[in-house]
Amino acid sequence: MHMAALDIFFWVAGFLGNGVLLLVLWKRHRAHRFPIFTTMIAFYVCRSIALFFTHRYGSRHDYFYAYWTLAIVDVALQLLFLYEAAWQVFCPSGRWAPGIRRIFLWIVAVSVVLASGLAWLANPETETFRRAVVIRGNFFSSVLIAELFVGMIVLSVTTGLPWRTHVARIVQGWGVCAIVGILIEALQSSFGHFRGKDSFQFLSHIQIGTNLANQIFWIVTLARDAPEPRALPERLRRQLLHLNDRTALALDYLRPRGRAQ
Amino acid sequence: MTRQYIFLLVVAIFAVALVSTALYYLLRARRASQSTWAGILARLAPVDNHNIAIVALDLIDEEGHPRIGGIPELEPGEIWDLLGGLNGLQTLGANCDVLIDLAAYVQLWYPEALVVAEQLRLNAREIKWHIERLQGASQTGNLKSSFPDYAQRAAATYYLMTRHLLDLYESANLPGLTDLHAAL
Repeated sequence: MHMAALDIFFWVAGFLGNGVLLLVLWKRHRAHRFPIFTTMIAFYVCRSIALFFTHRYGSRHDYFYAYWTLAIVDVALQLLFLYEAAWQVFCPSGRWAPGIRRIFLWIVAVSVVLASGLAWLANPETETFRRAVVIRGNFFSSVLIAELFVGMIVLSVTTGLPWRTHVARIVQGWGVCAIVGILIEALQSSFGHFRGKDSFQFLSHIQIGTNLANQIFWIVTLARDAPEPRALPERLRRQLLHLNDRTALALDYLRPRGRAQ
Repeated sequence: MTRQYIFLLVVAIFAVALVSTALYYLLRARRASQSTWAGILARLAPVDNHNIAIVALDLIDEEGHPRIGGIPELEPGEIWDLLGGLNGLQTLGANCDVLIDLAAYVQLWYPEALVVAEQLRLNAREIKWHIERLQGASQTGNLKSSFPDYAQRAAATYYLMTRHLLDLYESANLPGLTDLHAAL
């Protein structure tokens, strides 16, 4: 199977970008805070190698199945990472704040339904069933990730839960890529092959370019330290704990169940 | 081709909605993180704190414990008038958002004060829950009977939140305590 020079450049750049990002995660001790994200980036490095050799030495059939299998793993890892980010934002004290988890699961359910609806509405203009499946699948995952990204932002702002620097930047960069992905894949689905292979590839290159820019953004952001928090004095910590105990007692009484007892 | 155009139109609307929503909330989060102390206080809507204290202290004492003597004494009509009805309660709900931002301001100084901010946030959500119950009751025509119970709980919770916040600022010796006393 033949690859154009630009394709090879993008492939190498993406591979090196993920390698550098993995190195930054490791060297700057971010890996233990983002284990799933780190696993995902390591997976991308391995995926690039596996797909390169399958493309070079395998048949179209082999490449399609390798690509599709790895794409499913990719989506699964992306969803797991979203959960990891949600955990850091919505469970800052180590457990889900009451009511948040239910709303988050509702957001996930609505996002899956909407993404399925849009993917069903897509009618890829391709000559093969395989390519249609790939386009629909990519489109579905982009829509789902973008919806969850926006849903998490809305939920965090409306419930007053702040984002820490690194997780915010990772999710923001990812969300931008997902939204660009929706537009690119919608255009590919509608006009990519209808207008010829060149336009399909041009759109692919725009998407890969956006992903590369995001990789650079992640590398720079994760290489820098987040602003240092100030230490809480012991006296203040004791007073805060006392205040919380007192409020919890009062709320127990105020709630209908507590008042009835 | 018609289906393709419909699909593209739907996707375009969807993408614009997603981007607009994300931008709106990201800007809101950015504004909140850059707010000044005075700026947050200026968002507090005027409420009669004396009346709120009367309603709350009919149910609890200053410390938040059940009031000695047991049964609340205020009549439903009195509670309704003291709180300014459903609109008055909705104003309390809006002020709860401001209280959360004030707590978040503390969090900027001491990120470890997260637990307190979380508690304040939960209290605000509880007040909103009471208000939602009242809105539901108003739609089914049961507002008059539901109002005293839920509204008094919301007022008491709001009262506790304001005491909680004042204590927090006094403990932390943060700037703006005099302004906060005046605003609350």
